Amino acid sequence: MKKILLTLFCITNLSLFAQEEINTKTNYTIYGNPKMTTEGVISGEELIELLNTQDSAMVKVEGVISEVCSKKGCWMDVNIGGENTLFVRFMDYGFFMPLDAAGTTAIIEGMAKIEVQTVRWLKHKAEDAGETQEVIDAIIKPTIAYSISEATGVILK
Amino acid sequence: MRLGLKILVLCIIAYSLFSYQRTTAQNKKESTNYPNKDSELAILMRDLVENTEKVKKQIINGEEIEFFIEFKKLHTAVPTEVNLRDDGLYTAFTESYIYSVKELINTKNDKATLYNNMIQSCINCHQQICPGPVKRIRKLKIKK
Repeated sequence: MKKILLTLFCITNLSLFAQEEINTKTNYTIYGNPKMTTEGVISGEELIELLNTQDSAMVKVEGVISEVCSKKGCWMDVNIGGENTLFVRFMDYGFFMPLDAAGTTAIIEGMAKIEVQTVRWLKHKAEDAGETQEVIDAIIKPTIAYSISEATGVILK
Repeated sequence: MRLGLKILVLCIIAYSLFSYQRTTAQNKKESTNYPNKDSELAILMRDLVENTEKVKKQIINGEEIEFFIEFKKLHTAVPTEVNLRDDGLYTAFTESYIYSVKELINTKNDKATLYNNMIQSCINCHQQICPGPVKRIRKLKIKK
């Protein structure tokens, strides 16, 4: 009887230990789509290649957050390789990023495109980023940027 | 059952429960879609969206419309940017919005048009002051 119980004890705890390892490896925070997973993630370079051949692509792309809206966390810039930045906003204003998320690796789910960023928006973004009036006034031309303007979910690692 | 065996059984149960709790705690990571401290006005705006969604459905279904928002709070709720009201622009847009709500409440005719006018007044304000939610607000319009 003792032997059976000891065997049971070992099996139970080994399985719990194994489970704990898996949990540790998949520990992350999800914003937006609660069912979002890390499956099928592509790199920033792969996204750029995709958008060289098609107008838009539904993706999960990984990169490091370089800047977050300092007021509410309602947009972010993500480095997707080299000097390339992906501009991200969130579906229906339905979720935001932590204000201190810069430097964190993120996976963003949504429709990626190359979009025109208007002067009005760029000025607003510069205001959010706490730029000086001189810098804001110097924005006079729209820019082209990789963007996911309605991300459905974000995983922060 | 002998005493030693009983103690062993109890130890197994206790240890297993402890391990389970530890595993669960590690797996659970706090997540909220709004992780930063929201201003009073930001929370009011979210309530306003919720209320407006209901009003939209009520109009589409031909039902009586119902606003539960205290509109005067738009003038007093603390915004994310403390100097929001300094240049008078926000106050002017707010008054225009409240006027469009009153028009909608008082009409017995084309509610959908007056509702869309009300939504447009939200868009006009946000385009000038806080363009982030403009896409979201556009979705509130009734398609004719």
